[in-house]
Amino acid sequence: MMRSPAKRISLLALVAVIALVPACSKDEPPTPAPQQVTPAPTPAPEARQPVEPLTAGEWEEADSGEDTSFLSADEINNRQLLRTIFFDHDKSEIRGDQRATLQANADWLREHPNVRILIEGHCDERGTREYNQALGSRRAEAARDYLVSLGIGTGRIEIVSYGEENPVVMGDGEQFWSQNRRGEFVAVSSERGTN
Amino acid sequence: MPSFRNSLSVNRVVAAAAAVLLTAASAPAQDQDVLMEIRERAGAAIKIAVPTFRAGAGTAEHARMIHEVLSQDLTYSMVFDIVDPRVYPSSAPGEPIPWDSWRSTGARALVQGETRMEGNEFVVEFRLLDVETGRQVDGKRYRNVLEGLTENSSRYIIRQVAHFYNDEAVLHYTGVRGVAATQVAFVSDRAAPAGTPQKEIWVMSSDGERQRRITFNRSIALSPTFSPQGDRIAYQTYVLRNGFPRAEIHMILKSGGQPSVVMGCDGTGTNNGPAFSPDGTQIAMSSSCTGNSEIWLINDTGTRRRQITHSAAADVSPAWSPNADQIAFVSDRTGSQQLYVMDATGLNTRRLSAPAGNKDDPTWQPVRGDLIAFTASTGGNNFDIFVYDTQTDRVHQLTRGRGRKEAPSWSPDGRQLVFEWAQGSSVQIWMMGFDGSHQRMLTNVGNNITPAWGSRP
Repeated sequence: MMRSPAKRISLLALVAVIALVPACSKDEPPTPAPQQVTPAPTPAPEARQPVEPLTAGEWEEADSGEDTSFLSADEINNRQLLRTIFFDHDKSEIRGDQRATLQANADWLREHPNVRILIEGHCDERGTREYNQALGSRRAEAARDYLVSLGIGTGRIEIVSYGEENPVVMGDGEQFWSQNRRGEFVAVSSERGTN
Repeated sequence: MPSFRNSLSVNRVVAAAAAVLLTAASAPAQDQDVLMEIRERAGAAIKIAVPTFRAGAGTAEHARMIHEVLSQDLTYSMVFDIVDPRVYPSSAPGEPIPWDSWRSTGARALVQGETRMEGNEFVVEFRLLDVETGRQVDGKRYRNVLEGLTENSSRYIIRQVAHFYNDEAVLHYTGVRGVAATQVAFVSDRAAPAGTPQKEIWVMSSDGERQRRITFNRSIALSPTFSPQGDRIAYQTYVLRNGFPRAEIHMILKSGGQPSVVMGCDGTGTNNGPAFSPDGTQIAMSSSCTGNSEIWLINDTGTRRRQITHSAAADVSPAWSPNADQIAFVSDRTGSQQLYVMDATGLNTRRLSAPAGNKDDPTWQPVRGDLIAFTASTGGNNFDIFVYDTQTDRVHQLTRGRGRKEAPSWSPDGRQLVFEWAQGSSVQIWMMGFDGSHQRMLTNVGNNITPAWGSRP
C-alpha cells in the first residue's frame, strides 16, 4: 500500500523527536535504534513497520494556505473573515447579489467547525424603533436559515436584533441607509481542536 | 381679548388648513371636526388670571421665578387659559380686590401668590379665588429652608413649589392632579464613549430640569416605561449570556439599584417594547422567543409568561387600555404596519381604520381612554404623531414638519404627550398638548429618545 506524503512526514517527525532525546539526557545510555522503540504515541499497525529511507524525490509540495484554524474570535472579526450582507429597505429576504457572500461565509464556517457565530440584524433609521427591532430579527433569521440550508449546524448560530440602534454610518440619504440595513456575522468563540 | 391659547389655536387651524391643501394624500377633511370634538370632550379651558406675586423683603427674585414657572405650567396644563396680563386691574396691597374689574376681563379664576421670609424659612402662599363669587376656593402654604443650598438645588426647589401649586389648581378644577411635578424617563447617548452605540436610561423633571442618569450598563438601553406607581422602570437592554448578547426586559427602581430580569428568552430572540398593566402587576411586551415577534404577557416578578398573539407576522408595541381589558398593538399581517386592538386575553382582534402608511407606538390615553396616540408615516422619511378617537373611529394629526416624530407617551392626567423628534442627525425629547399645541423641546445634549411620562416622584 502506498503511503500518503502526510503519513510519511508524521513518521519522519516521530523519528526526529526520538533522535533528539539523547541530546537532552546526556547521562543516559545512547538510545537504541528507532525500530526498537515500543511505546509509540499512536501504535497504529503502520507505525511498527520499518521506516524506509526517504529520498528528496518523494517530497510533494502544495500551497497549504494560511492556517486560520486557531484564530481567536477577535482576530476573525478584526480581519473581517466573515463578511457583512445587505438588505433592501423594509425587507428581510436575502438579496440575489448577497448570496455569494453568504456562500463564502458558509464555506469558511465549514472549514472552521469550532467557530460559533452571532448574526446581528440591523436596520436603517427609517421606520419606527419598535418595528425595526422586529425587522432586525427577521433579517438575522433569514441569514441564519440561509447558512443552515448550506449545511451549517443551527447549534453554532445565535441571532440578535439591534434594530436601528447601532448604525455603521450616520447620515440622511440612501447612500447611508443602504450601509446600515445589514446582517453582520460575528465570531463568538473559537476553540482549539482536540484531535 | 385673545388669550395665549386662543391665538395659538388660530395659528394651528391656519397651519392645519394649509397642510390639508398641500397634502391631499390622507385627506383629513374631517380633521378639524375631530379636533373640535376632542377639545370639547377635554372640557373648555378655564380662563385664569395670574397677577404678579407680592414679595416680602429679600424674596423678589424667588417670587418672580415662581410666578413665571406657574404661569408656564398653567399654560401647558391644557386646563387653563391665562388671561392677558395687560388687562388686569391694578390694586394696591391692602385694598379690596376690585372684583367687578376682574369679572370684566373674562377671568373665571384668579391666583394670588405671596412670598416672604419667616426666620430662616422661605414661605410661599398661593390662593385660588373664584372671580364670580369673590371667594377663595383653595389655598396652600409651602415653607422650606433654602440656606446652604447650591444655586442648582435652590432653583430646583423653587421651580418645584410652582409645579406643586399648578398640580393643585388642575386637581381643583378637573378632579385629576396636574403633571407639572412629575418626571419623564428617556434614553440618552450623551455619556457614551465615542464610537460606541451605548445608550442609558435617564430621568428628568417634566419641565426638562434636573436631567440625571440612572443606569450604568454600558449597553444599549431602549424604551423605558414607568410602573403606574412611578417607583419602577422597565426597559429593554442587551446583556451578554454565554458570550452572546440578548435583548432582555429589565426592571429597575427609579431611584437606581440592581436591575432584575423580567424576561430573557430561553433561546435566541429579541424582547422589546415593555408596557406595565394599569395595576402594575403585569408587563406586556413583544418577544421573538418562538422565532417570530409576538405579544406576550408576564408577571412583574418574571414568572408565568404567556403568549397572546399567534400570527406569522411581526406583532409589536403593545399598549394597555386604562381599565386593562384591551391591548392595542401593531402588526404587519396585512403587509404594512397597522394598528390593532384585542381583548387582553388575546381574543377579538380587530384592526383600527386609519389612513394609509405604516403605524407604530400606540399608547392609550390613561384617564378617559377615549384616544389612542400613535405615530404614522407621512411620506418620505417623515413620521408624525396622531390621535385615534375610539369614540368616532377618526384620526387627527398632532405634529407637522420635517423629521421623524415617534414614541409618544401620555402624561398621567392624559392632557399632554411627550415624544421624540429626529431632525437631521439630532433626536430630542419634545412635549405638546393633547391637541398638538404648545410644542416645546426639553433636551439638547446628545441624542435623546423613547421618552416615558411617569407619575409623581
